[in-house]
Amino acid sequence: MKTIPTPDVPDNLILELRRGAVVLAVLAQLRTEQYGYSLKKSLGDAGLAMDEGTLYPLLRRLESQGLLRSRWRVEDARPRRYYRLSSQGEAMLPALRAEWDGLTKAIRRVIE
Amino acid sequence: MTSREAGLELIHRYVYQVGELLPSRQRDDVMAELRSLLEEGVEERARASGRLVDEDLTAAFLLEFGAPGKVAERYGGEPRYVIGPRLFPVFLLVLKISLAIIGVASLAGFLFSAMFIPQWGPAEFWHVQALLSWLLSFAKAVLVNTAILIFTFAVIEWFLPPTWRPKSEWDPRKLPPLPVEAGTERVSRAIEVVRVYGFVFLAVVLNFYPEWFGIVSFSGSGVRKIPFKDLGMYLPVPLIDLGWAMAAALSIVLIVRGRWERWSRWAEFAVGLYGAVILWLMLTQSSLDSTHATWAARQLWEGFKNQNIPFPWLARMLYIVLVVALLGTLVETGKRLYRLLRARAA
Repeated sequence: MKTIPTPDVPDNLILELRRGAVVLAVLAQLRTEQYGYSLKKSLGDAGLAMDEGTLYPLLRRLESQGLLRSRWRVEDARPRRYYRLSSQGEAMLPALRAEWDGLTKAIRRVIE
Repeated sequence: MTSREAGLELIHRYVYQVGELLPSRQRDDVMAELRSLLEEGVEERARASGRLVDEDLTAAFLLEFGAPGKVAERYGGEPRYVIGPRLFPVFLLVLKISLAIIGVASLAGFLFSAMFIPQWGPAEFWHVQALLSWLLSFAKAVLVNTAILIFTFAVIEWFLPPTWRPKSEWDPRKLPPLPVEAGTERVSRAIEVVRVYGFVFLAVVLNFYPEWFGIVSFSGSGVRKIPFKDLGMYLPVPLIDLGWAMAAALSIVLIVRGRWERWSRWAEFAVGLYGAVILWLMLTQSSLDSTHATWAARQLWEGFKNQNIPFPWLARMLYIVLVVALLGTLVETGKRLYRLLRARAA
């Protein structure tokens, strides 16, 4: 049987596709307090590997938007900045999740 | 240096370069977080690959992490602006301060003229012509000041490229070394920017609006200006321009390099010495006497128009200003020389 070769999807298209979803994933993960590296690992373990150079600045941006709050803690003789959802982020998360559910259903209907 | 130390030193050089491209407001915080994350990331990578942290492993990790310029952009450092985020807060601050000074000085001049000049009493206080003339001159001063400020900051922004911005391909091993005296000898860019602005502003006024480089009075018949040179003050304009140009150039170099070095300390001393020589010339060559001062007072203020009374304090005041400026410059220059010689001896 002749197989049709699957073309490689360019990185920028994948990044574009994931950009919005990543924000939701990060907010959802930060219902419990985490620092940058542990968050990267937990996202990776969940199958959502993220480039550190993108993830860490994203945390700062979300904090500046008031969706996260952070504090420094020293653990294992290393200062670490821990992030978690702010009250505004907690209020925002269910709405974002509902938006995401609606979006995935709509996309599925469109592409299937 | 052990291979581990070499790897960690590479991280410090990397973080320093990212920090150089960040707005000062968030620099220290981002640098601290980035350093912690990178060190942890490299150690985790070493554990996963069963190796020890070394320069090669760190270089490969940093290469994946991204060039300093790209990382800084993601953190909020933007590419190029007329006045970018690194300078904009300082620009706003200088704009506010300069406008406040212009406003207060202008208003004080107006009120002084209105209240203390004998023939210009309360009846004429709100004289429309005087008020309009004051408002016009104030608006002109605001416009000229803002234009000079924008121009100065745009020029500084232009000359303020990152000290090191790799192109598409880069090698972490080629990151510049950390400054030897990082932290202690870092230049306060905000102060240097203000200095450049001040020199440009003064040079523009002295060369293009020389009539404003003197004493200004607002009266019922309009704005009256007596330039210092008409009061008998010796103003070697080309020499003064040269001094301001040298001082501004030194400040721009300091802004770009971001730190003091031995040669720039000597240059600062030389500029100070040059300023003292100019002030000495101005003090010894000027003929600030009672005749000039009385003439100026009669030109400036209505109350003195028809009186032939001596008015010496204006001349004395200018002398005192020159003497104080010269002494201040000499003391400051002497302190700089002492610090340089002491550092050399150490």
